[in-house]
Amino acid sequence: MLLERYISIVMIAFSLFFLVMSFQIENRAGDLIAPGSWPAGLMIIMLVLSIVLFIKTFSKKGNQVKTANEEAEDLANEEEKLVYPKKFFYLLGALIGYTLLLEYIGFIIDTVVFIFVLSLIFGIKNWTRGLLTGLFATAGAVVLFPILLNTPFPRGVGIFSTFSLLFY
Amino acid sequence: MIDGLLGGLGNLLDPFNLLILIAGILLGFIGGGIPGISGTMLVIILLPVSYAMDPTAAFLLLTSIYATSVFSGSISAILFRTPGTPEAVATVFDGYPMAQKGEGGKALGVSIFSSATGGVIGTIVLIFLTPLLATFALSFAAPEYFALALMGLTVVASLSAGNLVKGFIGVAFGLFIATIGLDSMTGTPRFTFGSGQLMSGIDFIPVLIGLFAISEVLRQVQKRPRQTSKQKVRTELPSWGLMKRISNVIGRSSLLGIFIGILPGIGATTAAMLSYSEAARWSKKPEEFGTGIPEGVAAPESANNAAAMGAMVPLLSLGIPGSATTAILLGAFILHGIQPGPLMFQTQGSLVYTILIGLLFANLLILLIAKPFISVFSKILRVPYSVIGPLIVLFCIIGTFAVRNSIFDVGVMLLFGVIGYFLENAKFPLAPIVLGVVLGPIAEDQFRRAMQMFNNDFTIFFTRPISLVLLILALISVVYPLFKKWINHRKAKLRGDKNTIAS
Amino acid sequence: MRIKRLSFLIFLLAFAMLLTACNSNETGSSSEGEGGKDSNYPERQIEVVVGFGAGGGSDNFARAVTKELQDILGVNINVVNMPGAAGIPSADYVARKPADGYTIWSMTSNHPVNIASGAEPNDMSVFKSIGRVQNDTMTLQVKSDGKFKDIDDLIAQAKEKPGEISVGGTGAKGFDELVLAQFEAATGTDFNYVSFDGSGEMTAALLGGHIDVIAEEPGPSVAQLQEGSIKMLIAFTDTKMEGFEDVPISTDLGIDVTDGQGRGFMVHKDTPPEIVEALEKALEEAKDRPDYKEYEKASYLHLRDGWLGSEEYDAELEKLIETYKKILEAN
Repeated sequence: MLLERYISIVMIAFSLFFLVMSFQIENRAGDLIAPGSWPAGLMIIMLVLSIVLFIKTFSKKGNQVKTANEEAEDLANEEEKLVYPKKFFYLLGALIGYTLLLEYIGFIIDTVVFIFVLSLIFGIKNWTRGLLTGLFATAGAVVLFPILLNTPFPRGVGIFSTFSLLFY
Repeated sequence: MIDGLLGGLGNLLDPFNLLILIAGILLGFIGGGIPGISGTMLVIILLPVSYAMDPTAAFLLLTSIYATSVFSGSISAILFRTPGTPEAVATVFDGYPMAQKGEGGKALGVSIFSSATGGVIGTIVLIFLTPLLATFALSFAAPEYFALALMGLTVVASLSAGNLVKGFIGVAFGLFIATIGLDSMTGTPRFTFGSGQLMSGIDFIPVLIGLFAISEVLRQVQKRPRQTSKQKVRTELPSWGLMKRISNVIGRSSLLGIFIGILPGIGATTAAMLSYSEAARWSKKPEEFGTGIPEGVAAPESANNAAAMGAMVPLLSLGIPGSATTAILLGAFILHGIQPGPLMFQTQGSLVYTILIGLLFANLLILLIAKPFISVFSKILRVPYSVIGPLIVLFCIIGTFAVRNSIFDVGVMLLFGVIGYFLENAKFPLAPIVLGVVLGPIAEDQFRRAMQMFNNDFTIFFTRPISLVLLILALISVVYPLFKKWINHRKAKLRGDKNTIAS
Repeated sequence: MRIKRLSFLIFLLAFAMLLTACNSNETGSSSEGEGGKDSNYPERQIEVVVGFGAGGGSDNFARAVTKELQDILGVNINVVNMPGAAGIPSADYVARKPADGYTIWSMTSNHPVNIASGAEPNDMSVFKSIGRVQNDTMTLQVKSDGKFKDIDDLIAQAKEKPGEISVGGTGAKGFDELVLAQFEAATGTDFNYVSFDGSGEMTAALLGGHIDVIAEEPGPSVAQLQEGSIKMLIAFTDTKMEGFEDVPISTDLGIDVTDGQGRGFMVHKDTPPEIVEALEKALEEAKDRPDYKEYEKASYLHLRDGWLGSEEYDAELEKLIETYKKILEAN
């Protein structure tokens, strides 16, 4: 419920911000339906509904019923519990790092390291196995996409680019 | 016509042509099964090869790839919540929950059966009704397109029965995402913050993969690692009882799929989405959609295969491509010195009938070939999650990147992964967002185009019969769930009153 | 199990082989005979970036030329699609790549239009053209059994009811709309421009009677033109069109609009001149090859000779941008 309240606050802020932005879109062609009208309408709907949702989170009735349900669910499947909440941030961090580095160090090196790190986060016991997964997955992807299908995978810059060019 | 079909069959049974057909089917299967490779991409890549062949073999190859890749995108959609091709977008909604309930094999079976049936129905319609349907499709203009999209959107009301507010917030959000970028009606940049990459807008594939697949991986990583999944995925074709249960849905979705496929400019992806909506609308228990029911897999899967065939109608009869893939096929025809169009059935009858028979075979062969294939695919599920998890993430990244060859899109996918994670935790239904992103451009552009075409006359939506009917249907589907809720509320209250009196 | 696994491997192998088959180009002796002294360009594969989706006119064009270039230059050339926003993101991508001639931008007349409208930040100071290969012919087309007999009839009716006759075109503030604007200015008429996403959708709308006229090249609607359900009222060119000799041309009618959709290639401005020269030469050779000629003919792109060399096309583009700026300001 608390999460729902936070989300509704974020949504109110989001829709307010973009509502104002929609009004600032210039209507060069002078159409009756301006480029900004449609998004503005959507943001008004979203704003109103988010406020409704926000108010609803304070009504206690639904609140108790839901939490009771959730507890029952949690009890039912003990092993489905989220036991490693920190891993969420590790994984997200790895993903963001991978995406940011992709353009600079190229697909090959970035992916081998990334898959290796990921398998550690996912709890692989054997380090060499993780490394092998990274190598094989990267090799497979490189053969299939840039080599066979001509997908322009990022090569990286400088020395990384020279390295990538050895393969694709 | 019968002569033509028999002649076509004769051509198809030529050993070389048969070989090419089977090669095409296999390529379509593998390609469609791997996120990042779409049918469109495969057809482009094989285009140069097809130049060297005679037209019959060339078009058997290209069209069979096209037909089967539409099906195999559902495999990874069901098993990993990542659609293998854009057309499998709506299969994720019920396919993955089914797999989680341990019914992955059943879901795959339903998908095979529905795809094949949808494709076969589509081909039969294509063979017999092409000229008629092409003429009917021409009566659709901007107001009708808009009404159609609106009807698809309003189904949110029945899809999120328990949570109307959240459902509508999702749709509004999805529709808004679709407005980002250069406005296609006036060329004005909207919400781009001066970024060149935001100008081309936000594609729905990164949004979908982020919301569904990445958010799921972010959740799975926090769980205790499972050694190997106990469940064994055995593909089972639906039992007789199940077939009977979903036959209505398949029939309706196939017909709807064909029709949407015929309309120029909207293709199999939209057809899958709309028929999922319609299946929910006509269902007695719309609230079960999204929880993992076979109807939710059957509807989009039969519709997308039917729509893929439907898209051939305007191509063959008018020379107008209805989708990206048929546009490439049009180019291929022209390079072979053949001009698709009204005269094609007369001038190239033999070729057309061979292609049609080939498509019929390709769709039937889905039933035969799919099973051994999927059993190989689903072996992957027995690999420990510590190995398969990173690979799913890699597939998500490549699948997103390959759509537009853009790293920016990968970033968008991550963003929506986080959004999806929190929204799902707060029990927001995610399907409405995707519905909004897919149908948004159609709804908005066609609405504004209608205004342009008819000089800002709002009454146009109500004076054109087809558009009026569609709009009334849309209105009913918004009002009806609210009405039902109110009735139930009244009943409960009355019962409550009675109880108090009795006690 | 064993057999299944084996058969899966065989499928994969067959898949791989088929794909390699189509990519393997004759990497025989590289036959570049360019003037550069010690330049070995090209040494590795080249990327051609198309700002439109696969299967469209611009994509078909890029692929047809690339097929020949690959043979002439003796290296593999990839065609990469980056669709969206009238090609602006694809220009941005090419502009950010090194100026070494290994990333080539396949551009269209939308580029000068985008620069003139201010939507394209990568203007003439960023790119240098290699050459223009095609110059398509814009025409106005109507239903044969519709309300317009000929071009005079259309102009007369448009003057009678200004802003009521709807004309379809692809794209917003794009090339089609600008040609129509020039036609309006030359004839003193005013049409209602309706923008469509693709020519298929637009042709269907014309056939269904939902719009009155379409601004379109002969290629995409050739099936209907041949069958007779659509006819051309005017072609914006100064030479009669082969195969369509009875269609009036604009210069004969005293309408000075001859703009056509041009398609060509550009590279980064800082690319060494000898590389630009090598590419220009290869391109000039490619456009005269029989396979390419056949493609042009089949798509009705051969109606006028489009070739302009690097310097000439740059000059032409500068001129176009000025013209378009004036039209856009007047609107």
